[in-house]
Amino acid sequence: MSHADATIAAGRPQDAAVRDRTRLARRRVGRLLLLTPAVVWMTLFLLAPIAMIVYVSFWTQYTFKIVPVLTTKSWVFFFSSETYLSALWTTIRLWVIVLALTLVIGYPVALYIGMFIRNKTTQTIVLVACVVPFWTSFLIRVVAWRPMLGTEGAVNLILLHLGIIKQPIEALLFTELSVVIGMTQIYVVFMVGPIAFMLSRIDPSVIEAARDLGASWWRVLRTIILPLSMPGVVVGAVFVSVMVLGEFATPAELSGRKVNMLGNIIVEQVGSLKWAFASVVGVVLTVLMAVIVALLLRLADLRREL
Amino acid sequence: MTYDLELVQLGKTFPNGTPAVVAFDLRVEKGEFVSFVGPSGCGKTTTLRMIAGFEASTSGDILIRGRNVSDLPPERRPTSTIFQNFALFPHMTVRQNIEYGLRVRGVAAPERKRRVDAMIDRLELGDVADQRAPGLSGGQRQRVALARGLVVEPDILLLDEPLGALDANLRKSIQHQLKQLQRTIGITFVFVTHAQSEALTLSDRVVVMNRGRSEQISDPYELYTRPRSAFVARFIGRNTLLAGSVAGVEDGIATLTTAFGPMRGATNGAVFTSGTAALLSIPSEAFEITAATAAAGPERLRGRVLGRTILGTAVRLRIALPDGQEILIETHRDQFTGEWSEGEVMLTWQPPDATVVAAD
Repeated sequence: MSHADATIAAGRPQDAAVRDRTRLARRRVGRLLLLTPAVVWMTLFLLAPIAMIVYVSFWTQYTFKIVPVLTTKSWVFFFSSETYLSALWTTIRLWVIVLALTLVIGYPVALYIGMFIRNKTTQTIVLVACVVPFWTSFLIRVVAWRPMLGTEGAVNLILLHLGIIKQPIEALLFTELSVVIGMTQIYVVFMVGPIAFMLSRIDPSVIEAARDLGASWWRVLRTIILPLSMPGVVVGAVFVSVMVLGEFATPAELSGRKVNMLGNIIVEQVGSLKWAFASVVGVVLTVLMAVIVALLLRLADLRREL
Repeated sequence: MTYDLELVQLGKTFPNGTPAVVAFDLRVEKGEFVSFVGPSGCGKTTTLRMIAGFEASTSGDILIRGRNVSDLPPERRPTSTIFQNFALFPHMTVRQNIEYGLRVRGVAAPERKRRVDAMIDRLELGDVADQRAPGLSGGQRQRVALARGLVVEPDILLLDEPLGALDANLRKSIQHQLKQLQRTIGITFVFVTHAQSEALTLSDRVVVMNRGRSEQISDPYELYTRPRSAFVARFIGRNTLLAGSVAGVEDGIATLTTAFGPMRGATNGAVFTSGTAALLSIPSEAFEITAATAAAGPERLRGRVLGRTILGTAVRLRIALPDGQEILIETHRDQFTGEWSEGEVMLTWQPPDATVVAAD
């Protein structure tokens, strides 16, 4: 291609070729202008703050003030404190558990919506129904779990009434379990959506072809449906991961501040004006998210599928 | 004798009560190439999908080599389907696509490789064996679909408009390849198409379907020359239909009283009583064109030439009959002289070349 271009250009007067080139360049610049507002916005309000946080994490922290004298003290403190390392571990553990649960609970729902509801209108209605809980505010949704999960909450009352349990289950509220229940409920829909979308794009005749060739339903699910829905799984997993890793409200409300994720540490440190330390945790959290998202994206070739 | 495929009073009624296929009887011998042809919605694809097992029948039976498969799911039927859009597995390479059926059946690796390689050779897919399906051309996809379906050695290959997604030139050459392939491997093909030319070219027998019923099952020549119903006369070939009532039958030739006088055509074994409404179907190529000055009489229709198209060795004339019906006649260039190029002509035919069918 470029060789052909060169041949054509060589056959023309020099100035014409130059004029063509400048016109092309100008057109390219014109197109890039479309990105300017977004680039400016992101630089000012995303890239600059991130750079700032990295910078501040190396400032020297005194009890009530912070001075721009570079030091690694906050970093050393983070990695030598059992409390903060355990918050890092809690974050990773909750991420793995919630991601696994949203996948296990969400995939069958997505399978039902994406594969077995073939009517597009019904499909939309069901997907909208999935996001109905989002019509209330995040905090109300989190707080609403308390009367559900408490010792005298709805779940315990129902189980007691049905005679399934003799004593109220105390582990339901203000434990890590309640945090897992709450986060799974809130984030499962972000798993269902992308998977259902990918599944609804699978050509039904591809599934028929597999059955025609002798594959049982289980085999079709394993060899055709699952691989073809992988991009949806990855996108859903990215959504859920980013949101779970950054959580602070759900663990705070549902564990009675017993379960601390990195997000809770940041809130706490900012509250007591420990900016340098909050920045360290912020950087750790950002790096953790970046690594996890990068790993997830390697699971499926999104460029090919979307 | 056992047939490769037997449909016995096969029927399907949709849940809303609409009949899709009605009392379909068909027997297909081993190695036969049978086509279902008809307008869209005639039930041809539904019938094919019932044979494959994708749709449940609501009455009747499907027998493959004498075994009743009516209640078997598609994965347990000895059929392979070639889908209209080929339905290749997009996340697999050509080789993996072809291998799929053998893998599912648990064929051992060496045997699997041998059979897949043989199929890749036969369908000339060696160059693209390691490519993924989405990058292939239409013709290549079609060959992969064939290879994938044939490698499991089905009793019957079901083809659902497999040439519909290809462009016209490719379709011609693939038609030929398909017929060759079917002859060499010798398995039964059941082919669904809405293109009559495809059905007539490829098939040993053609089933014409209309509104869920099989209207006629014949070899292509008989179907083309001897329609057995008004629908077939209209759908297959290019026939001129004249309405009338049966005046009498003698030696297999019926005389119809029409608006243009008495006209004769072959009854082709059908029984007509005097006075019944009938249609005379005259194939376009049975017409002989003479000058309008010829005397009127039986099997003579006066017509006016409206236009002509030169098609190389043939000439196509657009002719208006006295009742306003417009017909197209193709005639050899030599038969066409300027004398009646724009004006009155007389059309005649030999009574045995025309067919009388019951009016619908």
